[in-house]
Amino acid sequence: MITIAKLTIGEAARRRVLWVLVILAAVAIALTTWGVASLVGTARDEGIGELQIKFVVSQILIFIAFMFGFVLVMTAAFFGSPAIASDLETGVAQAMLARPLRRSSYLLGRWLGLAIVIVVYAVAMGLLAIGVVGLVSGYLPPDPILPVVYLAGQALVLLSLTVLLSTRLPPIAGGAIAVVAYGLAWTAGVIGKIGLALGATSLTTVADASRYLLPTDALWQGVVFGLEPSFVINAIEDEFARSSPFFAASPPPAQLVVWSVIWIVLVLALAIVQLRRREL
Amino acid sequence: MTSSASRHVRHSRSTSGRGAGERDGIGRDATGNTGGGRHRSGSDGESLAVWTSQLEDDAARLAADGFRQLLDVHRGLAAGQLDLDHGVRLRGRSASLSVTMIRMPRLSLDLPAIEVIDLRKRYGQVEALAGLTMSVGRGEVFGFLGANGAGKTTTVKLLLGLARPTAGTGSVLGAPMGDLATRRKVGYLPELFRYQPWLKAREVLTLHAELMGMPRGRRRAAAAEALEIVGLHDRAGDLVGGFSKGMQQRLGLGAALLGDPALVVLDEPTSALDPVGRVDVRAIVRAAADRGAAVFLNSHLLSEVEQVCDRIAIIDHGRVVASGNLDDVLGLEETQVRVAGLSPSDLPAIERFGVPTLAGDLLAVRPMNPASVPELVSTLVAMGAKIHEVRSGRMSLEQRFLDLVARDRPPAGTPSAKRLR
Repeated sequence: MITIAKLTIGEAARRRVLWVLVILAAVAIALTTWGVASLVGTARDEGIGELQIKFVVSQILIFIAFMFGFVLVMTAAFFGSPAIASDLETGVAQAMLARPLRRSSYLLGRWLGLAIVIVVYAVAMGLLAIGVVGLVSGYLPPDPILPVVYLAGQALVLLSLTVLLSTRLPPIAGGAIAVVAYGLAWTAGVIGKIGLALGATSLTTVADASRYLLPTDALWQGVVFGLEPSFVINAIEDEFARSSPFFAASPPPAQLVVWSVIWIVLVLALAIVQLRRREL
Repeated sequence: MTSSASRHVRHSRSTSGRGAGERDGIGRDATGNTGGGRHRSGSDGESLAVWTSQLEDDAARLAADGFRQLLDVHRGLAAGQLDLDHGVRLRGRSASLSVTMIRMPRLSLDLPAIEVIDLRKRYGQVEALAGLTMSVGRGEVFGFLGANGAGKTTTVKLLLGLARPTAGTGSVLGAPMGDLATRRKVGYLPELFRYQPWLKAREVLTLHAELMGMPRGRRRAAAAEALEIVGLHDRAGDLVGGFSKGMQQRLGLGAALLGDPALVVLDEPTSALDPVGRVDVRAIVRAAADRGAAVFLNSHLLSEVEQVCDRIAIIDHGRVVASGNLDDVLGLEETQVRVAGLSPSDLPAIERFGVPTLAGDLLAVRPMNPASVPELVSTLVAMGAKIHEVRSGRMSLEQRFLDLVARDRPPAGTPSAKRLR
């Protein structure tokens, strides 16, 4: 498994797309920093209070996290969907699996290698963004690590799904299905919040069910909560304002976080079963 | 080109390198039997007792836990509670233990490299293998022939555990097909050879060395040796993505030969090679066999098989339709006569020479003893036929192959093929 994980990391490192993503993220962070610095400078010049500035900066951070989260999800889908399928289609996997290499070790090695790449990318870029924005604005989230961890978790959920799909579907199909599923889960989360505001239990039920089917939205809630200043959570009382996908009144329930981990384990187990059953 | 005679010598060497009465260090004869099959008795029991006694001495000297385990195994063997044929797994390391471990694998050395019995594989409605039975000996080059779709690659995949049989059993190097540990000793060049294009040639081989469990210190040297064998040593640092198909196939061959495997499975190993490369591969295959490896050569390039293989099996519709050494399979001599004035009604008169077929002005008699050619010619002349040309010789592998695999196919200009079935 470790051999395959190392191989996968080496493969990702030698692909230009990863470095393009790193450079793009760095450019985006630089532009954001410049924008935030200008905004904060202007606001302070105009005498706007620090609390308001912190609120605005936190909202900008959440929006950046949303965009970055989407990039991470796309990255996970882009790397995960061909992880097994492409190797099987080209015959690279057959040559390796004829060695004393278990299919489970091969699959978990592929997943682990990609997971390390994605987590390192998410943590490095996420902390860099939070750090430099904090430096120029004076606002740091209460626990800067937490939103980054949730962001990486969201990507790992998508990665696991694409690896599962990759055992049976061609790369493009697997990637497309995973991204659509992510979009649906996010939409279901928004609908659930609206349902909560309206008191419509059927809508909240749909959202709750979707969080168990694909727990990305639950983790997104953790990202948002982690980036918000505490005074905002208490200050916003309007039900419709609280139903915004860019606001979280509480972190995701512990059972959903645990479920996300279990979900990843179950999906990987299913992927192993699928790969074992497959005739190569 | 390898002559039939030299092939025969090689085959004889591989199958009877030791005299029938010769015994190895553990009191077995050359066939690997201890004389009593799975029940040890008589002189075999005595040999075992001697062997066990030696090991007891070793164990006492070392007083190592690993050896106690080993000793238990040998006591079990002596008591008939354990079976030699199933081999023994050992734990622990020591200089003396390694000496003993060299002996242990010999327990299964004379088991066939490959043995399959009534192997069946069905993909939906398609029966890819329909009761395949065959055996490949250690140290021999075995040609596995068949038309496209005959089941050759399916067989290879079953042997390597890449697919599961629908029914039947088989063993590779004495272990069940697909056994994980046994795959350390098996090299494989897939039909669809493809390696990580972003790796250098050397890195592909060190990766495969790592996957096969080779110690870290040996990997680079083993990779360099394999690249040298396949003629890619000067491209070791180049990316595989820049390789031609032929070079990638050479690389795959290098991966298959990595670490001196006991069994090398080559699926169409020359499909992308130029004539020079094909000659190289033949030499490489022979060299691997000379080092003691069994080579399973899956091919439909008949001349290649004819030149390099000790034994062959021809597969058709998932079954072996002919097998043996080339002399066995191609042993049928035939005589061809270009003749005028002969009609099909005359053929019964010459059936005493062999099975005659007449296609236009070409009379073929198969099988036929070459010594009878003058008598055949006399008979034809006496029947009023005019003879223009007489040729006598062994059937080519191509002809034999066509005879065997064309049975259910529509005639394609070779009516004789139908008669010979």
